[in-house]
Amino acid sequence: MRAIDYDIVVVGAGHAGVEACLATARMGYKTLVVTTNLERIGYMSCNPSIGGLAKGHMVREIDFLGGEMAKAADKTCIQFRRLNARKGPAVRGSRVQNDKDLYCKYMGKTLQEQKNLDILSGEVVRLRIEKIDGKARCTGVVLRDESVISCKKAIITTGTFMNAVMHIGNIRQEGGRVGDKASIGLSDQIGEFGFSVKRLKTGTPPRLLNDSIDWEKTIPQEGDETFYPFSAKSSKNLELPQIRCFITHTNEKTHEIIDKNLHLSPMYSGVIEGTGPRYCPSIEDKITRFAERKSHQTFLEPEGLNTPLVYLQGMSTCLPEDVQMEFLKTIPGLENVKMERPGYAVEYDFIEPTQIYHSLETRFIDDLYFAGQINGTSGYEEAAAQGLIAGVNAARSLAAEEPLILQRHQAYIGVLIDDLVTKGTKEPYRMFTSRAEHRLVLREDNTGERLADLGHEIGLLKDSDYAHFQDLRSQREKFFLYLKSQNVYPNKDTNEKLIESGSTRLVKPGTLVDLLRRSELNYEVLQEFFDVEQHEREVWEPVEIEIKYSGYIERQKQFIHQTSRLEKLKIPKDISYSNIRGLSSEEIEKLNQIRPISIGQAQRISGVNPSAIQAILVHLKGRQKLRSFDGSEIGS
Amino acid sequence: MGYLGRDEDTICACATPPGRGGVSLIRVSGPFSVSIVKKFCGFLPEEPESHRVYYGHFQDISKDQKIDEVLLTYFKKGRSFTGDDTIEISCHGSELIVAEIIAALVQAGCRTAERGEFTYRAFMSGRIDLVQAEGVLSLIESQSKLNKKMALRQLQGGLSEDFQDIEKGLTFILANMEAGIDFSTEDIDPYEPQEMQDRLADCYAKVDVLRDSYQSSHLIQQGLRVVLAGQPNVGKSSLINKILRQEKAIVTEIPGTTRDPVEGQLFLGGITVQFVDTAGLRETDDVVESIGIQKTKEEILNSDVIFYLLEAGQKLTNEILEEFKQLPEDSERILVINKTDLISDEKIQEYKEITSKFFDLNLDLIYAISATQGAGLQSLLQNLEKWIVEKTQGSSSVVLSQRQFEELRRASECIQKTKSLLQENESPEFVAFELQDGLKAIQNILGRDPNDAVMDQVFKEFCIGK
Repeated sequence: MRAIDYDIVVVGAGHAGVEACLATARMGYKTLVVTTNLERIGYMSCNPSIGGLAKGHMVREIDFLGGEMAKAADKTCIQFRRLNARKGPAVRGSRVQNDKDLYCKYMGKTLQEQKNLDILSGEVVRLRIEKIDGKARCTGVVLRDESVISCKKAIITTGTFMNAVMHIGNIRQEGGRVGDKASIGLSDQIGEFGFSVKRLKTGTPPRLLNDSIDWEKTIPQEGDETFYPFSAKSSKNLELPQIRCFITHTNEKTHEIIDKNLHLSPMYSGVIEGTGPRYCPSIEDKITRFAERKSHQTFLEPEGLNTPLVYLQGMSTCLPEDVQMEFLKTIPGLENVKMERPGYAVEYDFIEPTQIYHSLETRFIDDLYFAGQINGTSGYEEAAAQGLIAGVNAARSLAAEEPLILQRHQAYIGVLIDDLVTKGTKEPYRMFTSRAEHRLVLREDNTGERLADLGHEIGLLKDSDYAHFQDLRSQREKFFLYLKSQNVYPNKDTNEKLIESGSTRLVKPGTLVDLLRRSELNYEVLQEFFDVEQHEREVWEPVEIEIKYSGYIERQKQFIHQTSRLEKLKIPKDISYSNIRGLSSEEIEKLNQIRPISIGQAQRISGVNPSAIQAILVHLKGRQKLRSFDGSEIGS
Repeated sequence: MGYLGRDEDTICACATPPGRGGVSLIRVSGPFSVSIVKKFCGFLPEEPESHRVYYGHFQDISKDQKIDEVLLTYFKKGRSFTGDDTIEISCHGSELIVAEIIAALVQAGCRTAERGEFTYRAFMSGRIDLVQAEGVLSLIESQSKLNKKMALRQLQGGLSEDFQDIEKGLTFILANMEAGIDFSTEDIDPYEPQEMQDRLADCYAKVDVLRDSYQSSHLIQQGLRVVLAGQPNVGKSSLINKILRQEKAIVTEIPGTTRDPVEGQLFLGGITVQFVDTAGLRETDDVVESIGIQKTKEEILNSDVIFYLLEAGQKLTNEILEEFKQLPEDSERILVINKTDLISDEKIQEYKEITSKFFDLNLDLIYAISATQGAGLQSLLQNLEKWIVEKTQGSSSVVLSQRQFEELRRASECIQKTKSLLQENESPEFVAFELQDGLKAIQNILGRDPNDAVMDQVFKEFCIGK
């Protein structure tokens, strides 16, 4: 049934693995994806939701680059919310609740139906590494039964499974997720090749049973009425019935029980050495670090339409099961609660991501790519984004094409990968809008403008989808020109309308663009009072945003222009930092470790001083006398 | 921001040493060299020929008058020392003329070059060879050591502490805003707008104190204004002419000749000193002259130092005493006894003591000179220079560089803007955008921004314009 030779093997079929194997198969390469559990392809191991601030941005980016996550999230959405809807356009983020089962089934089916793609149930225990021309290369993977599958490129997306240990109280158990085994051996072998392998920790809350909850004592939270699908191709109508989530709170009694039992938590007894995420603290952390707070909010989120399971957001814990039960019962609505399974913590190996290139290929072993939590990230969206990029770059490498490296001003995905490979991470890395210094231009509404051309160029955004976007883009452009051409004069009629709409009089002639710039006016108001062209929201909204915030957006673009000069100054691969005068030994060490591709990246490395950057520039200019360095040299 | 971010500015500086020489050379370099210079030199073609000299007048457009006859030598991009479009302006060797030309260029969009910046650009465009590059590299080495020392000294001086305080304050506010954005759905306590306003006001006040308290930076930034005042015909115009070494003011024996304040610049103690001649302070029925007197009064109010002139042996009347007492106290008041060539040395000493008692003024602040013959002038200027050096480099004040001052001003503007955006309820990403800019300015001063270049200092070791 399966050939023994593949172009590409993807190890793991979580959110990263799914995107990676779909990308390579769609780009025409014979791909095999190996997973230990065929039932859990694209499984949502933790919370039943996708998106949110910065994460929602990435899901849309994945969509325009031809990935699958956006479509899956839209199709299995059981609640939609636009976060920060009342705030500005750059910090609005879409978030959906998903039916976990349906999501997983959708992904499984998508993979099964994908041409060029085989799925194998099995465990990869080792990589086959061969020295070719003095360079270590990955040429295949070895399964538990010692059978070998040859490949030209391998993408490792093992998530939290490498040397994973689960903790509940003092119970330790090997495994990366309840019901799934750990992957033993792989990270040790990777470590033997000189990679620095470290430990991280993550946690998940208890799952509760629906009919044991007294819903009357909780506060319901509805989804939004308007649905903005993640994918440009998804139907604007929701396919599934929509559900409500519910809010309740801990109290002093809850905190007292947790506090009294802290010594039983492996995090506090010192058993867990891995660093957990500061932004997603366990309930133990919350009551310790924020001791002054008497109450913490928690969301009850149904995991699907046909499941009794309820996810208790914000309450991850690894206290013993009976203590979990005890404190849960102090929370309003949970007095008689039953748990399907307790919360637990997972400790796992990750590879310090400064050891991979922007392409996600590893530095020490050629033809080997890492994507997802193995690189120290957290979150489905972060994983999917990396899987997609690793897949694209493995395929492009086979076609002898330059890797796809998204710039920091182009996409959150660009910020994500550049941060990882430049700065590394000490805790599970999650995307935030504040990580993006060019946040004002990285909006959900302009994702297509940023990435559609690129998605089409790499061959993943289908012609029909691209045509659909091009049509949208031209409608937006036409609408903008229309607004610019519509003159308004300070006459009685205009001024009456303006006053009536809550604005102020016009003093000199202008256009509809000038009116839209006024903070108190918007497209909908203008439509009510003036004769303005009718358009769909997806046409007028981005145009309105570009007009309204043009001052800020222009300033941001100037800033981008300044910094992109430095990004374009490439550093040749063969540069020898120890030969550059003016660098300290610490700086040489840092630079050798990260091997930045550009001056822009080099100056983001912590511990590399401005004088070092100038010294490198001076050195590169010196080289110019010997060979050509014109600032456009390809250095990656 | 260091060189990295400002490489595309058009810069200018005097390339010849300060002081009086036959010819001075001002170098203008950068993408807008031609268009900027052309504003003042209409004779320069739109597309001048490289390595050709053009002759004409450098015109001050705002005052519609000629500043000087000049020769312009144009070097096309790629064929100049810096690699950028460059124009060298040769003018007559006068500090005043050079200062006026540079002021005009700056007004038109040029930036004054930092030390060594021309060399830096020459190097970056590959105009300097490897041997010279080696020299640059060893400078980097020594400079980073020097810089560490300087940073240490500044830390001990407490300057850093002030800036770190501001940095901390702004970081706190920004962190709160970002949390409000990125964790809006989570269970965090949103910031109180009033508290943020208070904290911003606190930061703003600290920035303001820094701006104001460093008189030295102010002097460096604005230069010093010395106003010459006194009764008509005591020789104010002669004195300013002598100081500026040229016939700037009209000197006649008719009292009341000078109607508009006449100005000229000198470089003393490392800063620009602006000398202002004024109309004599006397009651007059002449309309034009009375306007001049009004202007004189304004000048006196805006002065840092006042030279109050008397004629040697002149009768000390109550009118003069009143006039002197009305001079603002926060200006440094210096009594200058002129025309000492008309009386004997003994009489001069006697007169100095009389005036000291009459005006209740310390003898140190009284100078006797002859504006026409130059006697005593050197001592007057030397003491002025000493006074400047004390003011700018006194142990209690810290000298901010012009760049640091610019950053401080930017920070102040950004904080102010942030405050008003918060009041207007602007969406937080825009408020944060403004605040980030302000924080960046402070970090630049502290040398924390990755863009900040120690190399700015390195190239300061090179003389400007070389």
